[in-house]
Amino acid sequence: MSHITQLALSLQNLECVKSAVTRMAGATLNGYKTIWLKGKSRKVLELQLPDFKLPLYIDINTGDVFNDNYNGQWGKLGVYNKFLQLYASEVAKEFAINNNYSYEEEELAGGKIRCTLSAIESIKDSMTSEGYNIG
Amino acid sequence: MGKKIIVNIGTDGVSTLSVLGAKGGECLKMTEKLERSLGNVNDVKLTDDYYAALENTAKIQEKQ
Repeated sequence: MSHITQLALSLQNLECVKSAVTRMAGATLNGYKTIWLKGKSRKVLELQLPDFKLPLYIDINTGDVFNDNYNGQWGKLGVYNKFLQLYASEVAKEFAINNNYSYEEEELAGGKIRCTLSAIESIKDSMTSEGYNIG
Repeated sequence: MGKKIIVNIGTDGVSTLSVLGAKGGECLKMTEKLERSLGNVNDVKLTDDYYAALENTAKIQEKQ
C-alpha cells in the first residue's frame, strides 16, 4: 500500500442516491423541487429519511445537502450518516462495474463498511498461474 | 497479489481509500477517478511503499 486518501462525500450521482434510498428502509425520494435557500433559488432533490421531521434537499449539481434536524430532535444524525455510507458504497460499486473490478462489501464491527474492489485482470492472472483455464 | 482498491466508509460518512498490489504513481492513478466520483479529497498520505517504488524507478533509470 503506497498511499491512503481521506475524503468527504459529495452527493452528485443521482443513480447512486436512488440506489441508496432503495437500500434504506423507510427512505423515499420525492422528486425535484425548486426552493429558495441562502439567498438564491435552487433546483433540489427532496429526500425523506426515516424519522426525520423535515425532508432533506440535495443539490445534485453541487453535492450540497440542506436540512434542519434541530440538533437531533427532528432527525438523528446517525440515520443521515447511514444514508451517506450506503451512497458511498453504491458509488464504489458503480465504479467497480464500469472499470473492470469485482466488488465485495462487508459491514465491520463498529458500523464501518468496507468495499473491496479487485482488478479483474489480476484475478485472471492469479487463476491462470494456479492452473485454471480462463476463457 | 492482485491489485485491489479498499474503500473504508466510516459511520460519519468519511471514507478512506487505499490500494493493495500496486506501488508508486500507479497506486495514485488507480484511485484518482474513484476519488473524483466520491467527493472532495481532505488528505492524502504517501506511505513508505510509495517512496520505495520511486527509489526503485530512479535506480533503474540510473542503470540505463
